[in-house]
Amino acid sequence: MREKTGGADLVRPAATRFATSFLTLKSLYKHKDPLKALFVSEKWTGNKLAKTKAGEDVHDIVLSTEFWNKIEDCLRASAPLLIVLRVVDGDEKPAMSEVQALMDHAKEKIKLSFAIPSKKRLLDKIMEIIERRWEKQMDHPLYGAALYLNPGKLHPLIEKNDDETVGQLRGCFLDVLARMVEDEETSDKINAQAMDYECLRGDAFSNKMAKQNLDSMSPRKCCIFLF
Amino acid sequence: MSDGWSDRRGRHLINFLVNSPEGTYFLESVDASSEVHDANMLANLLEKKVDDIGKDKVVQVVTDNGANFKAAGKLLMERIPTIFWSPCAAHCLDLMLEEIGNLEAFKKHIARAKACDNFHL
Repeated sequence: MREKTGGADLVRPAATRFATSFLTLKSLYKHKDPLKALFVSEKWTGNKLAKTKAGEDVHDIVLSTEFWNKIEDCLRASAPLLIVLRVVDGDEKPAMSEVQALMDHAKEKIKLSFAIPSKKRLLDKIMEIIERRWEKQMDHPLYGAALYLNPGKLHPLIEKNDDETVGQLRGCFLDVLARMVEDEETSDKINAQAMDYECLRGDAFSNKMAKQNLDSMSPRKCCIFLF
Repeated sequence: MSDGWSDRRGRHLINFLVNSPEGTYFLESVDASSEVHDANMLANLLEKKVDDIGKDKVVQVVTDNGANFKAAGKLLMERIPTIFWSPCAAHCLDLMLEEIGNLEAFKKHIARAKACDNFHL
């Protein structure tokens, strides 16, 4: 089998339990054509395993079109989520300010890849699972606030005039502010600075260098830069 | 951050870790085998940890998605109004993938894929 897959193993270990199943699928799918070729080759028909029950079963699975179609659907539903998982499960950078945007992106991607009427029911089921698990648990003002304070993510939204999302994120930020800062004077000051930040006003936000660095700077670097 | 697990001897351990922009550090592991893990007990434990670190230094408390931890998180947010509790995003995604994998449309085929995978020439 390795000969046909270019020496690669089919299983790949993953950080979390259920992700492993999906990574296996991905790897299997990648080797779809060589696998199909293997099971019609003389090398297979001449092998004694071809006559065992297990061998016949695997042969039937690999040559079944329905099987590969379903695997394809399954990957369409899972791959965008695995990308999010890799970011939140990795230690490379803090994921807080990215996670909400990543998740929205993943949902869009899943919706697009199932955008034909015959897949509508399946899509609805998948979206129902995602919404239920995500909205009820992770839809937290803290994530919205983190996104609000991430200039590389917020300012593209402002430029697109996406007032609804910006307003929603500002709401999250204000929620968090109200909860964390009891002193009214301090919270008024923070709020005023946040408005400067949003509109790119004031000395710290309006200068050219600050604007140029909007995309490249992480929120944390920005804070050090400002205070 | 906290995460509960059971070791091979059946002891229930709860690990506590802290994370800041500088990195993640292991704080301590508590053997909670002898106690009932209800929301109240977990909330007490978390509240004590937050107090040890300093309320003003803690922004968010992250736990796994067990119902007891969820209830404890809500209690904690009532007790210490300046902090946020949320379940672990990675765990959340993992549960999502599990549920998608269990959908009727996919379940059988994933099992078949695994059968192929276990078959070695």
